[in-house]
Amino acid sequence: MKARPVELSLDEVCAKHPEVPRVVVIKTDVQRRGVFYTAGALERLDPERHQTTGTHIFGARDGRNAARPESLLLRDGSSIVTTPTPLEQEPYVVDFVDGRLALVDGGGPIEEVEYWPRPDFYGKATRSGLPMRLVASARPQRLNVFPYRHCHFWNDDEGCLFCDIVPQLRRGKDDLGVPARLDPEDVRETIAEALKEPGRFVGICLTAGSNTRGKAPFDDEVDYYVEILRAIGASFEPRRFPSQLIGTAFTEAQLERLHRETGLMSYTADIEVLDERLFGWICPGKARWIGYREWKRRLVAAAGIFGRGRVNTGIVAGVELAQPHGFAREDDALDSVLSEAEGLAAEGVSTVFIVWSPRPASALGDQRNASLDYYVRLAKGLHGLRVKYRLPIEFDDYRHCGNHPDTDLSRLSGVLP
Amino acid sequence: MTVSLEPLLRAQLASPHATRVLATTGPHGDPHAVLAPALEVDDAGRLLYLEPLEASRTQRDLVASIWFDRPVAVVVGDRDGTTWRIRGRVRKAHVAGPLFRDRYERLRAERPGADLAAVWEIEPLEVSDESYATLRARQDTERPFFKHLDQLTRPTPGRRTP
Repeated sequence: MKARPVELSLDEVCAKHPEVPRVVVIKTDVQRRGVFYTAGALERLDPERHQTTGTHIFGARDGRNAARPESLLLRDGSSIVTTPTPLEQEPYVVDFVDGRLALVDGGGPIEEVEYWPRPDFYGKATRSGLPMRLVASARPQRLNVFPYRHCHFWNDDEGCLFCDIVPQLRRGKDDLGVPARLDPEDVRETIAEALKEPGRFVGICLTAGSNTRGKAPFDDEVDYYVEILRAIGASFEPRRFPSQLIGTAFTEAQLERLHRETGLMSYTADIEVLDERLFGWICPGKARWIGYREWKRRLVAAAGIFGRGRVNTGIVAGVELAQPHGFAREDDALDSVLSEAEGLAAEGVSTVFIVWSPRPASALGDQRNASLDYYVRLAKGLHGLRVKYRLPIEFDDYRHCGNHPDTDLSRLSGVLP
Repeated sequence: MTVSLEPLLRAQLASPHATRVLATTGPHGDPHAVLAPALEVDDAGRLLYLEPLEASRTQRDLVASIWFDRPVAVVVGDRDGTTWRIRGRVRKAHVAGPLFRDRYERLRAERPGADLAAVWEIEPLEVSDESYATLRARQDTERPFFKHLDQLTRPTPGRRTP
């Protein structure tokens, strides 16, 4: 991997964007550069109290699946979802300093952090004998279910170029014993058990790899989501429960079925890169099976079914700068992304980003992501679009995800009158 | 710099009769205050404020405080007129983990319909006795020109004798 060019430092970026809180800038930079845990930090990891790495569908930047802290909690209650990264790539260091865990950079602590607390259900097993921690995983306030860990785009060598879901599936199966496909009954039992923990969870997120099979393309994927969502819904009194499905861009008929037959409350179909030409290069499977314009059209259709502010799309920010076909200049990339995102926002669809974390098992694994200044400008831009078009983002905010610096900024909006 | 809370103030914060008010400012400086009956002091001398609503003005203001290092004020008053003002720094939001869970369970046991968005940790930076009697005595001593003259008159006017 190439060394980073000279870029604005953390302090310089904070000074340039005083309206963006320093802690959000730090979080963004930690996602950008990754983390390295010192021996002192790892000594404080207690698997009985803290969450260790679990059922990830994506791998770490250092290519290892060892039990390490799942991720970090910040003082403002938000999370950093980050990956362990080799020291030679200049990550932030997590160390134990003056009696506290801290992010360290430039030789000194810059922000206090905590490990994620372990949920109660991690110690339990389903009646089939499957450890529940392999059925669902927990963020500080969200339950994750990854029921199907294969992506069929990879069958034709058309996986997204930034993605390592299939190599990670193999590792997860070999190293951790994570099943490739979950039985809905195991999911039902696990969710019921997880919800016994008072005050822990505010939402459930369901995601899996794309499955092209079925009478109509992706019908099998929808069938399975319906089964899993019904299994989850069995634990809830109201018909609808705070939930998010991150799936393929489905047709109106498939979306209406999901809405009608399950308690699902929000829907996400990640377009990954907001540029038609780059979508064709970076997401060949999505481009061939659905296409860029149809993907966007289906997102807008979903907003008509689930409602404004209940549908969004995710982008892997920075991948639009990947070479040889990506934008050469960050300014051009930003203008293009925000212009496309505005078109969606005007139609009731939010765009959120995650920081592209080049993983070694992905096709673009040897490239580097964008500058910190780029990500902060992107966060401001996407948040600004939600303010302009009055789009709430509660289902994908710091509590329900924690992986989007742009939605963190919504914490200062949306107060009840 | 964090200051320690006097035993008297700690006792008052533990009293069910005390009135507690939390004053904050919004992202654009707009003032806001709430009655904060669930405000307590922990063993380390930090204030813990239990915010029930994620979408409240106070929750938003506390986020703005922790993000932009803006102080908050807590006023604690008792029935005898004793009043304390604490200027504090918002240090941490507990949204999961043992402290959050403990307060969540306690709150739900007391009020089954209640919810809890966060337990906010506030470090006291400055404590002042704002009781009327204390302030009045200080003003009378240090600012003698602020007093109305009628309060200085004799009950029966007459010639002053040396």
